[in-house]
Amino acid sequence: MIKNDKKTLLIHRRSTGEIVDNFGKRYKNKIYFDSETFEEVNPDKEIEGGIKNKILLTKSRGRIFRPCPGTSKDYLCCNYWVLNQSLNCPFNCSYCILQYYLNNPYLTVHTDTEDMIGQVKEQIEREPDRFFRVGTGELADSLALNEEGHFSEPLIRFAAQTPSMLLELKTKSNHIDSLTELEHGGRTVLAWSINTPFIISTEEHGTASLEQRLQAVQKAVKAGYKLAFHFDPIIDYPGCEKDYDETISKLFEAADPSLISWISMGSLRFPSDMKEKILNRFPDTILTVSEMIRGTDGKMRYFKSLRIKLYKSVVSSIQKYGGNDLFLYFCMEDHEVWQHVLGRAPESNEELDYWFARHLYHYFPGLLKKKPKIAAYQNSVTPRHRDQL
Amino acid sequence: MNYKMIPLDSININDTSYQYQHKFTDPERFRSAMKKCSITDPVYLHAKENTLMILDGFARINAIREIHRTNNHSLIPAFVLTDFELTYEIHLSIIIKQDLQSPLTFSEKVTAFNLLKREFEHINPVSILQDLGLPATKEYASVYNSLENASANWLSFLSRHRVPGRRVKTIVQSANLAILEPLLSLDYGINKLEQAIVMLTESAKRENISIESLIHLFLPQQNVDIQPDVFFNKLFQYRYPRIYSYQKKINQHLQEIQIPQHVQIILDKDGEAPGIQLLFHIQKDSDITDSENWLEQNGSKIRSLLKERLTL
Repeated sequence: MIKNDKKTLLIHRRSTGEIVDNFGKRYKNKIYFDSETFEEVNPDKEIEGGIKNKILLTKSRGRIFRPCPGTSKDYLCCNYWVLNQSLNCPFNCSYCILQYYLNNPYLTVHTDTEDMIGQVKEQIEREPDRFFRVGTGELADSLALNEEGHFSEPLIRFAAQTPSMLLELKTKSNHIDSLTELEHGGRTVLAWSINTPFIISTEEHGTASLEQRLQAVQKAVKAGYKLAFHFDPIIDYPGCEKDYDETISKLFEAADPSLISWISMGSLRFPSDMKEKILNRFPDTILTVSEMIRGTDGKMRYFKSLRIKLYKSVVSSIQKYGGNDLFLYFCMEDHEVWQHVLGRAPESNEELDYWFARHLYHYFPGLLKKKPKIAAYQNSVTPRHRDQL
Repeated sequence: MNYKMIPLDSININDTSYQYQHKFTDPERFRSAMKKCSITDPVYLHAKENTLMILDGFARINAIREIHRTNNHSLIPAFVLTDFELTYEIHLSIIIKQDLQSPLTFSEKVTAFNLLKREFEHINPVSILQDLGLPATKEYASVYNSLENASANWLSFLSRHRVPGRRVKTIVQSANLAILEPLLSLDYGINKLEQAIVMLTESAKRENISIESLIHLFLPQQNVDIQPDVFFNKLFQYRYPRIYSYQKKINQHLQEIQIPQHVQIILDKDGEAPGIQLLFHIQKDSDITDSENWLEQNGSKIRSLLKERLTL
């Protein structure tokens, strides 16, 4: 039986190498296991408080480099690629879907970096004419555990040598000290999920404060990394527009707009059956107070008119403090919202993907070796989304 | 454990510490049966500090006392347990035996849970829940604990609605049951009651006022008959003003459009699925002409409906 209260590494016996060694130096308690299923590793069905003290080091299974699963044809997805190098997150954001739906409850880091990189290489070779944006932050916080295992470093080194991709490491932490001395070649984007101090303190439990995140941004700027920011989820509460404005003002005191690759926006959304789970775990949350409506993807979200109002306010602040040249986009919004807020809307996910490449080509001269062509994105050989896979 | 014939008047009937069954059965019928057969199945008593406390058999002992009002020296069969003999396992088995004979209601099980928890502090409450066949987690232990002082109205309501799990949890975690008690007068089922309570809780949080004052707002005079549907609709309107007003407008638009039998208008009133679907059931030639005419006559109204959907 595994003790709940001790920080412990659970290491699959077949997992070896740099990442296992790095974590091994930080943890006294180690348990080695051979089993293939997580139920065997966790026969006592430990409660979450205990699980968040455990880090499972194991080899990945199957394809872990995949297109981001945009789940609805009515909302535009940017055709991002995700590398699930780690799963789960030590933080406790009340709105986070990970804590409700992942089958494996452990903080998991996949140790077979070479195999993972192999999957990325293979995909890039299949589509040599397109530019890939690759992130590790879809099913995990990319950097929350990085200072303990340094597992992002091999990916940064790989990205530095790969001209047709940008690696994005997305976080709510300030754990970037070990990355500042790395040779990243300008091909890694350090990205922060940004919210107002009120939301960070009331809903993003255990994460770095806004000040800490912005101090980390300044370190990233000094180290020459490209930056990205994600205002997602934007949450409605009394006084939120003023708070977002102040937050964005502070953000641009720390971040040089010329280094910002993109800024995304998304409003609060969650599957309808998650509401009860949120309330059970976080009875004081403000998430469930606002009136919401079911979207075509089955997720609850704010009314479109409210979303448009919130987005317009955030965009206005971004442009006020950061200028008009930044690349702004929405995560899972429909054409109408795009059109109302930004005055333009891509025809399709593929076109949006192309828009990214076109922006990066112009904004960071030399980043893309050749001028992107829309055909490379429209005629992709790889099905992008869940309904096509 | 001794089997004895015990005089009725030596039993302490005033101490109900061990009582977990509620008197919701027909007492008259019960008394009549007891009059015919008396007590055949032994009751269980606990010999504690020179008194005999009832462990099991409250209803029977009370009934037989009423029948033999003039002669309380009558003897009844009983198993008598000492402190030493009354272990957790024995007490549990008495409760389970009762449950097997006549299934305990949910609130009786909850009372039994709280009784066992109080009497046997060394036993893990989650194990007690498991033993009683109730959802066995720490969270539920806490939920059922807070039902310990629930009023008879609540216990009666919860017994009538066989839902020991999720909904009771939501209700208990929303607010103090005493504050919510006026809602029981609306005679809702558990689903609707839960929905009403969730709406009240969320509205109170949004408006930063107490649930009690909200209940007072919507149920101002408890003596006046409030139509349950009217209350629910008012509450819905208060909690979801946008959806309420949107749905009202959509319904108005639909009423303005004269929809013939062979036409169906399909739209998502609760969500933001775009557009409106018109379904024409064509069975004969004239249906085509009728449909064309109908569409021509109602085109502007359908456009208004579409425009309303876009304001969502």
